[in-house]
Amino acid sequence: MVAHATDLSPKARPAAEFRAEGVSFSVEGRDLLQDVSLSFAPGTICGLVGHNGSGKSTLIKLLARQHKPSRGTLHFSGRPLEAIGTQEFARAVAYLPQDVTAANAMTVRELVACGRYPWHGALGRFSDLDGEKVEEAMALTHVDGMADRMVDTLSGGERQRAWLAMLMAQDTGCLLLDEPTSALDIAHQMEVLALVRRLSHEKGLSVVIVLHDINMAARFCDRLYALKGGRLIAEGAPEDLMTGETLHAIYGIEMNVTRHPALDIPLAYVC
Amino acid sequence: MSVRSHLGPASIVLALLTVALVLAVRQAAPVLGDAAANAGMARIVFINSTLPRMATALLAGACLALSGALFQQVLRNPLASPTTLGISAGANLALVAVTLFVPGLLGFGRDLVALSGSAAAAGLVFLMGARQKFSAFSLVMSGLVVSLWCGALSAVLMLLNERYLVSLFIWGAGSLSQQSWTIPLSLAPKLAIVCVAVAVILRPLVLNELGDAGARALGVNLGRLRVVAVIAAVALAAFVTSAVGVIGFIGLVAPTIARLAGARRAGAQLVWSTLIGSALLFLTDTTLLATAGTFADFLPTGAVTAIFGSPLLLILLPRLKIRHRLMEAPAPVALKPETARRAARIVLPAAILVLAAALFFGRSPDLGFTLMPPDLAGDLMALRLPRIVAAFFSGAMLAVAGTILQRLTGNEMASPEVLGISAGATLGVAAAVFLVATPGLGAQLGFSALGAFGVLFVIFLIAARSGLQPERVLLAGIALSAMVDAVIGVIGATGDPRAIFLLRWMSGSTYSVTVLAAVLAAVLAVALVGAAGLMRRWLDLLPLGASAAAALGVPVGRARLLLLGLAGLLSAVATMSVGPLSFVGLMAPHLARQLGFVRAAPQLLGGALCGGMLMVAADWLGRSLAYPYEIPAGLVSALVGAPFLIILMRRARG
Repeated sequence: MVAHATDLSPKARPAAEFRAEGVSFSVEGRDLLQDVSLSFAPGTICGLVGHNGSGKSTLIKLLARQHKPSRGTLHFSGRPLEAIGTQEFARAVAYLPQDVTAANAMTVRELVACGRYPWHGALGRFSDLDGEKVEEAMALTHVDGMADRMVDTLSGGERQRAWLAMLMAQDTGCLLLDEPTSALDIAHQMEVLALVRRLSHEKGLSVVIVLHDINMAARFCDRLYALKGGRLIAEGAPEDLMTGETLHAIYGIEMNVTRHPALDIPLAYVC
Repeated sequence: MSVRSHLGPASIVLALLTVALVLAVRQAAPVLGDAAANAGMARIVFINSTLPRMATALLAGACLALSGALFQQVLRNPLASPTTLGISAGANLALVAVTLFVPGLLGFGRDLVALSGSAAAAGLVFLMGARQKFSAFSLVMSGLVVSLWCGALSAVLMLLNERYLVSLFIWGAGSLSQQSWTIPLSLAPKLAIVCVAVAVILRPLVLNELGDAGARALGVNLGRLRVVAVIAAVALAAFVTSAVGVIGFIGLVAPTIARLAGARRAGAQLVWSTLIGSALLFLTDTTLLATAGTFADFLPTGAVTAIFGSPLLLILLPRLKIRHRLMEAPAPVALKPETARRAARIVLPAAILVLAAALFFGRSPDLGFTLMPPDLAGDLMALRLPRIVAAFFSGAMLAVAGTILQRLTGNEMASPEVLGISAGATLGVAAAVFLVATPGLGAQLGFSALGAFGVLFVIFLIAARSGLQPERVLLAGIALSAMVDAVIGVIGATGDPRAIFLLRWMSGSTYSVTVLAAVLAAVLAVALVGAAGLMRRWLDLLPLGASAAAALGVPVGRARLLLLGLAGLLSAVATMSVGPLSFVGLMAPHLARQLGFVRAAPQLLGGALCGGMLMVAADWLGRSLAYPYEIPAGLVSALVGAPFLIILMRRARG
């Protein structure tokens, strides 16, 4: 095994933080992201919010190395993103794509076991440790009851949980989640986001999450980043961001903020 | 759980092998049982011909099935295989061309030649598929077109070089007949090497099922994975083709059986597909030996597998998820819409000019180009006029049939050639040639129309269940042409003199057109094109979709039936004189649209004239290019038409 410049294994889990400097991304002359500079602190849940096409998904895809930025640099744990080896990166950062309709011909356990690939590689043995991690991940996400069911028999919420379990088995210090609740009803949204929050706090994971619903984002994230037209226009704690003025800037409609009657959290509504 | 999922495929392999072995032992029994008395010739034949043939069947089946399973895994496409992607046909064409024109190249190794052919075919297919993000449909579609084209071209190349005809043809159609152990012994290590490579990429292949983003997030280098897998699959297909010729559809059938039997994951599918393919080809071959007797040496196993394999493609069709539509980007129209009258005014003079040029201009015995000398006018007219007339009206009919089909299916790739209607007509004529001793013009026409209607009927039977989705109609048509092609291959391999007649006829030579045939073509063309003109309103409204057209008062069911029948008749008559492969029915409607003839009536008329001109030009080129030899007109226009189709597919956006 090659000695790494930085040990990214979970034992010596360092401050795993992302930093973007002047990042732009354009496709066929259209700028999807323009000059975005920000940093995501370690051990926190960072929410990306914004209107449709604001560049949220693009940004998270750049972080996940699904695309390369057109301009600017991205750093992870103080190292340039492109300098990290493929396997090394997959051991440190897990990514949940928006579209999880693939992998129908597998059982849930097999899907979760895929998450061990960065650890055993193309030829290595699937060790007992790998097996343990798979079971542990399924227990954490409460999918152990359906371990032998085929993925295509699952409901949308179960499927998203199964994929989350795969990300857990990947045993990384950082999760990148692209709209993990897009296809879910309100009950399942709560379930999945509560799970992410619990996992983040229990295991000290850094999470970057794209969310559509501003109230859900404010409720479950430690910090919010608002994008508009490919630019970062606001960032801060949910309490600071949730004002009528800022929300108007983000979504372009008149909004106002009230307090949750039972919990002490802000609630946004359209005027 | 995991043991159970292996039980199904394992029992299938066992069953196939048992039946095959029983058959094989029964054939071998006279030799083995009577060792002392019969130690002579029969034993030598058994050891040096029958046994190696069995080994070859086992190995070739394994290679093709593994190749198909790899393609299906890496492209996430249940219809991919060396046959459906045109890989085998590409290798075959390369081998035929090199054997005929630069036999010296074979010194570098047949494998190398086959490999470059199959790689070129794969490159071409992927090039066409790339524009549509390698969607399952577009890959198979372009693959089958490449496959048919390569197959036809190799057949015609052989036809033009008749001294090689029979043996090359049998080999090209996939004969497993062996005279020594050379081929199985060379195939085995190649298969072993590829198996090692596949073992290395097995885990990444499993992750490939998670989708691009998912696999990449887990650290799989997708680009490298695809390159390695595709190279392995292409190489396997090339090795087999170079050893025994094209053996169709094993690479499609075996993985399908494996999947249906319960092999779920990538690894299981690769292993079980390989074993099933091996057993399946072995069984096919022993069955063939048992039933065909001595004739079996000349009956290519590959053609037999193709006949039974292509219907499977039709059965699988409804399972294929089609993610995109071809008609999303209508062809850019440069000029403002033209009327039918303008069409006549612009294109008619051009058509007359082309006709006149083809009639009066030709090559003289000293190889120069000359005007028709007046003293020979009578003789030359008698020679040239019938074929020019036949070519012109056949081209026009194909163009009208293409216009109808494109408007009816709402798909700009539809045409009599692509939908297999022409191939059906060919099959009809084949039946006529073999059933009726000397079929007259009327009998040929009748049988050819029957064949065309048969194909049309089957296509719509299959596609109607899915609401006539254009993609399914197309794919069904291509699958049917592949099957018809295989039938013709078997007939060709028999070496029957009637098969040679059929081959020449397929290549679309106007050489033997009689005055009567020309007159018949002209009369029918005028009548049928006139009938199409009467239905122009329907043709304008039907592309709006069935419900919209019905709401506007078009009797959709009846209109479709009438139009389809007309298209079938047009194709059948045209195929009579220019063969099934001209692609004029595809090109002419597009040409007409590019010229600005957008509405139905102008497109019909303009397309007909364009089609006629194209065919006459192809005929003229065919008899002038290689003078004093002749290249069949249908082949000339196919050589132009296939690249045209490729450009069209490149332009269609996903």
